[in-house]
Amino acid sequence: MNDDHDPKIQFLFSAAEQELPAEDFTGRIQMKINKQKRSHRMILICLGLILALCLWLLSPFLQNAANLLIQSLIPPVFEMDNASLTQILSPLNNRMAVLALSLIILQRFYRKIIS
Amino acid sequence: MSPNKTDLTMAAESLIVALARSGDRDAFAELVRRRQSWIRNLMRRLSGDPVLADDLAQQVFLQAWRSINHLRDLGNFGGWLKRLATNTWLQYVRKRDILNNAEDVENIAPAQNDTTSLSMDLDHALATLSAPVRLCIVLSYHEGMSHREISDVSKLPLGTIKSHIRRGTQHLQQVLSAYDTTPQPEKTA
Repeated sequence: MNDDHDPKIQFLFSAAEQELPAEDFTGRIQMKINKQKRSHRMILICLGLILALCLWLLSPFLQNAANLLIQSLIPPVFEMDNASLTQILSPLNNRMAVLALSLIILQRFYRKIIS
Repeated sequence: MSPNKTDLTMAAESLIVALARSGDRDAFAELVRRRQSWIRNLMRRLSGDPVLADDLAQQVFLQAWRSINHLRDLGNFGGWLKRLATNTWLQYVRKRDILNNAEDVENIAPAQNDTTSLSMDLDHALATLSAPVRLCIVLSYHEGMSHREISDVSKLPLGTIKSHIRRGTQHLQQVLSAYDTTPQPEKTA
């Protein structure tokens, strides 16, 4: 409360406060919320359909790109003579593993700097 | 399972806010039911027009529904809603550049002794004030906000707020002087 408040004006403000009926107003708000929810759902459905269509149209290119990516990441980093050792270490001895490991180290380093 | 409407009318507000945050539309409707009168009255005092006030109050509640997830303190729903309402009004007046018009609209509005028309008389009296003075007066008298709080929400300088309130109070005293001689008016229905 402020010091320069006039008690009479304050009283008039309190007395003028009306309890307004809630039903119509609340109903209108609910209606608008439901309408918003429906249009939001429609937008999501449309976006999903557009995305599915785009993926379907672009699937040959995407498949090619994925193949190229996999082929470029699979080759071993270190060549080994022993075939069984190559087999055992293959999940780690490839470009993909090196890339993933580098990313994890970078992420930890970044977190350390941030904290 | 969502609680039924009787449970909601009995429940504490913070609990209902939590339910509304999780997307429960009935819970939000209960919040609207509880707070609509306050927000509509605030908007009526600010705008002086019941139809516009209801439109703006609707905007406030729709905004509240959209952004209720941003409400951190579940126990402070009222304060958060008040801020939304004030911002909605400020957006409305800024669009029309009313806040820059510091001139009083009219000099005198007739005051009536009939206590049932007090609300209308008060709105008429407030309508004679310029938009920035009316904003400061309503936030101060209707919402009980301090000068600093009003300055924070309206972005007006503290000195300006003080002078607006002093000037507005003097003006209202003059316009509503007829209520000085009447017995204390009862709360209208």
